[in-house]
Amino acid sequence: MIRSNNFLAEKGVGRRDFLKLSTQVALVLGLSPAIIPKMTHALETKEKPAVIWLHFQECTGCTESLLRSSAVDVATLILDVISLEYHETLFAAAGHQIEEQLQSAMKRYAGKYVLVVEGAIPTKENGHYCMIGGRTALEMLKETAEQAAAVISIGSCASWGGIPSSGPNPTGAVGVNQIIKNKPVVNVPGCPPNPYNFLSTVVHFLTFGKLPALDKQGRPKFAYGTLIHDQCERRGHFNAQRFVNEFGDEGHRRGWCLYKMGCKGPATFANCPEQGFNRYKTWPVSIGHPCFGCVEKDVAFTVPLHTVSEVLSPNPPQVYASPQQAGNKPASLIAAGAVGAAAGIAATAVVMKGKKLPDSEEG
Amino acid sequence: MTIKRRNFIKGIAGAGAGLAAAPLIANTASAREVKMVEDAHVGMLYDATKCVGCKSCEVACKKANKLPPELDVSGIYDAPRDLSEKTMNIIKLYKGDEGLSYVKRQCMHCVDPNCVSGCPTDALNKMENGVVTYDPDACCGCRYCQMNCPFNIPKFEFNHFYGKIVKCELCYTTNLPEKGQPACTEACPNGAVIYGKVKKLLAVAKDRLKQSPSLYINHVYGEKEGGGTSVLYLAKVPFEKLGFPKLKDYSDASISEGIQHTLYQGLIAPAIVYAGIAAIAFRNRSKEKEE
Amino acid sequence: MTHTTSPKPVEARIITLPALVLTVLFLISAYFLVLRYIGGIGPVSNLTHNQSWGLWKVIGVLVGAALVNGGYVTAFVVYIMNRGQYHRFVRQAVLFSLLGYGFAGLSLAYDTGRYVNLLNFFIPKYMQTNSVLFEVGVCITAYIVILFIEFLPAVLEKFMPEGKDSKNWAASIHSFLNKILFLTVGMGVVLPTMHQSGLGGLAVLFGNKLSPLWYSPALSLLYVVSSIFMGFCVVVAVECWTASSYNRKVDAKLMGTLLKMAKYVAVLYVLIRWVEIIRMGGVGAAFDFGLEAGSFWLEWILLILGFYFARNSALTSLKSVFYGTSLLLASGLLYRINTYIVGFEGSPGVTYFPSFPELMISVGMFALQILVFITAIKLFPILEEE
Repeated sequence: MIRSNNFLAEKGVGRRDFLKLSTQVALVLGLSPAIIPKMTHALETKEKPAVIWLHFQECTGCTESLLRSSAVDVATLILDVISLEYHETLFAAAGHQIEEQLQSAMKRYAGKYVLVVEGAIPTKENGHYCMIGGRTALEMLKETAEQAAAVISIGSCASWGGIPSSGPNPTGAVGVNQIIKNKPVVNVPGCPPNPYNFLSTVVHFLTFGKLPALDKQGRPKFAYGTLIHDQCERRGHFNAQRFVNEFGDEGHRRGWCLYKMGCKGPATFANCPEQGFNRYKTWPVSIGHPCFGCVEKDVAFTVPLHTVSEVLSPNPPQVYASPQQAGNKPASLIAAGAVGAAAGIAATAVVMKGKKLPDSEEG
Repeated sequence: MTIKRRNFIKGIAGAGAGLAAAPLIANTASAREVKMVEDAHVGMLYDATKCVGCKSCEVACKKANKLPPELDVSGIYDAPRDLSEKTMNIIKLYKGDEGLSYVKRQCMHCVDPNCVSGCPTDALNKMENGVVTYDPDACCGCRYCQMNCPFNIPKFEFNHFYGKIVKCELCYTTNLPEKGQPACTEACPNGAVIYGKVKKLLAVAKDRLKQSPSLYINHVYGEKEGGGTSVLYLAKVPFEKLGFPKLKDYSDASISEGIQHTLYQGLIAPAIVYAGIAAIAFRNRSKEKEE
Repeated sequence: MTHTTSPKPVEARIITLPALVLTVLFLISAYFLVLRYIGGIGPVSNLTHNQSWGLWKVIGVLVGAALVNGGYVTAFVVYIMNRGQYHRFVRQAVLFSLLGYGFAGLSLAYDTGRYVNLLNFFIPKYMQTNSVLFEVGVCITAYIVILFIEFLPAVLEKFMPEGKDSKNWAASIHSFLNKILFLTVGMGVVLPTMHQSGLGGLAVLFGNKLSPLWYSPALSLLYVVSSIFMGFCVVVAVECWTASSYNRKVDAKLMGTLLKMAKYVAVLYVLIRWVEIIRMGGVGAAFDFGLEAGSFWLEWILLILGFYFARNSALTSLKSVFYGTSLLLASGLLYRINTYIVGFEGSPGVTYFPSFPELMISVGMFALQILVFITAIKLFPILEEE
């Protein structure tokens, strides 16, 4: 059901709240404040995209994370930025009722709805390891994705398989983009992901009519384009080699770098240090626990928590010397001139002395 | 008479030249034994593929050896550009077509060091455990070691009125006796540089090459270079790109000392030549007296 | 020796314009030397970690020592080969050898970082006998002592009374020294051979840092041989120079013969050198464009020109002889500069050019040597009577 704008006003959701959301989103997207009015207008006037939200092998943490976004009064506003047509956690309905709702929403908004997937999809044994209403997750996904305008995978599980896919992956869990290949799939990984990464993607779509720039893994670049290591507030400690060696030691108490404790920041692309979670913008490192690289497929549930990470890019301000150093002191003009003069004088003197000498034998 | 003497002189001159040329023809190195790694020798193994450039080793070295920081061009960071009189251990970075690799540079503690061979006043010595140490009390500051080190390791305090040489001594008087290993290997968070007996480290290095051949260039740098070094290197990027010179399989010291020993062992040859010359000079003098 | 010699001080003013100029040059270097002792070697030179030996080592020790090898060569020729007719050159050769080596030794006082520890060369605990540099240092010191002993008679003669029968302290020492001359002369031949070869042998440890155009295990031999022909050349060149400066007569035939000897030795040098260049694989480098190749070929150009001026048919012309020896000397000097600076690549991309203070210190010290020489020949009986 598409809510009308009046409905929002009735609920006490005003333009000011849209403004707050736009401001937050603009910040996340890294856009100039000038975009805010445009975004607010879009939020106010444009037709909200219908969203069908599927849950598969997941813990529902992604939904919970979304519910805890704190820019504005939560759940209601979120549910009104988008028009949620199917959500197993949030809907009161169950059983045949909700199944009907899903089918009718798919029919009504065919070709126009956004499919959001939370959770991985098991593929072994024809996908029998996750069944909802008698159908496998695999079937459901394929069927629902067919008429979707765009697909967003929220969370690491939907993006690349997440915890269910960690070795030995007994259910054959994979991410959405391993199954849906004929449509653009945006991955918003994280365990859980920052809700604003998701929200901003949607608002971007609403405002500009297209998805934000994606990287090779289909992740929005505005959120997953930079290493955590390069945004970390403890980077100065890394540069100065002030490391925590043991939880609870003096360095830990003073907030030093957690690299030696296994922080995967140097191998993880995300915007956690910038955005933070919850109202106080905290994230694991800020409270003293090393990042475990929850967005990265090769890191998160693969590399042990306290194994020291590889560092993906040595960027300034860490200055490294290059292997060849000549260390020359430049020649000065005066010295060059003096040497030239000396050589010249010597040569001239020899010639002049020679001139005085007889050319043939003398007595 | 004069002609005979002339021939005799020529003969001596020829013999002298021949003596000096002998090393050319004969095997020079045989005049002096080849130095090998001994069981007691310790060293380090640095695996560039494991290094993440955290520079903990640089900091630890400075701390253990009480060295001052070396500021970079902006004057802020302790970021030396190269080994120097303030920096005995440095991490450098190579970025190129072959990929990215860090490299740790410090004294290689060669098996047959050029610096030890060339030092006239015995300031540089290879100790029993293989560490090459430096004694400023013996050093006269001639800087021959700077000229002959194939890796350009010794650094001289040029801006000090009575400068000395500075180079890694494997924490011989600091961390090694106190903690049983040099400060850099102690500080390394993921074992990119490890300490141990050189023979054992070589076996470890070879084993790594065997187990994961695709991770490395198939060569342990330091096994043979310049007669061998106590610090061994593994890397994914060609060693020349990391700043390592391409060296012969034998040390320059073996050649230089081979020549010296051939010519001057026990000062026998010079004594013979001297005796001959003095005798001739004496005869000439007496001849003159007769005239 | 069949010729009698009667050296006399040169009759000329001591304070002349050249002498003043030389003094000024020396004073400039003295100023920079003070700076060196206060602030260290770094502030007054362009020496860096990767090129740690520069002008001072090359000029002061290598070039200076080779240039003044006249003493070595004349001692050999006169006392060993018994060519008495060369005896007249001995004193001046000994003097400029003494000055050259003396100042070479003196240059170490400012070119080493811990100069007080130079004494360690003579303390058994610190002697490192495997080192070529050790051998060079000890031999040069011993040789300076020998040269001094060989030169002492000239100084003593100034204090000896006229007349054959009168004796004083100077005369007794003088006659004693003459008696043991055959012993010191022997040292005067063996020692230079050892350390001249050592000066070349030093570069053997440079290994890969030295271009194949100059590196060879036979460097010791090449340096001895080149120092011999340079020694002959320097005797001729100085004799011609003093003749030209003080309007003295010179025996051109004698000069020519010395030069002939030099040429024979030089040919030997050329042969050995080229064998080694080919053996070390340097031929490719010779045809690379650049400073190294250019400087390399300049050595040979100077040598060839020297041979031209010193060709047998031109030996009667003193002018030609003088030019020939100067060119041969220049070639030998360049060989030494090339070995230690041009051909030495501390690490890729290293360049070195002396700084102005560095240069002036060398120039000033060299000026002082010349000053002492030209003053000494006027004060003491060194040069042959006209």
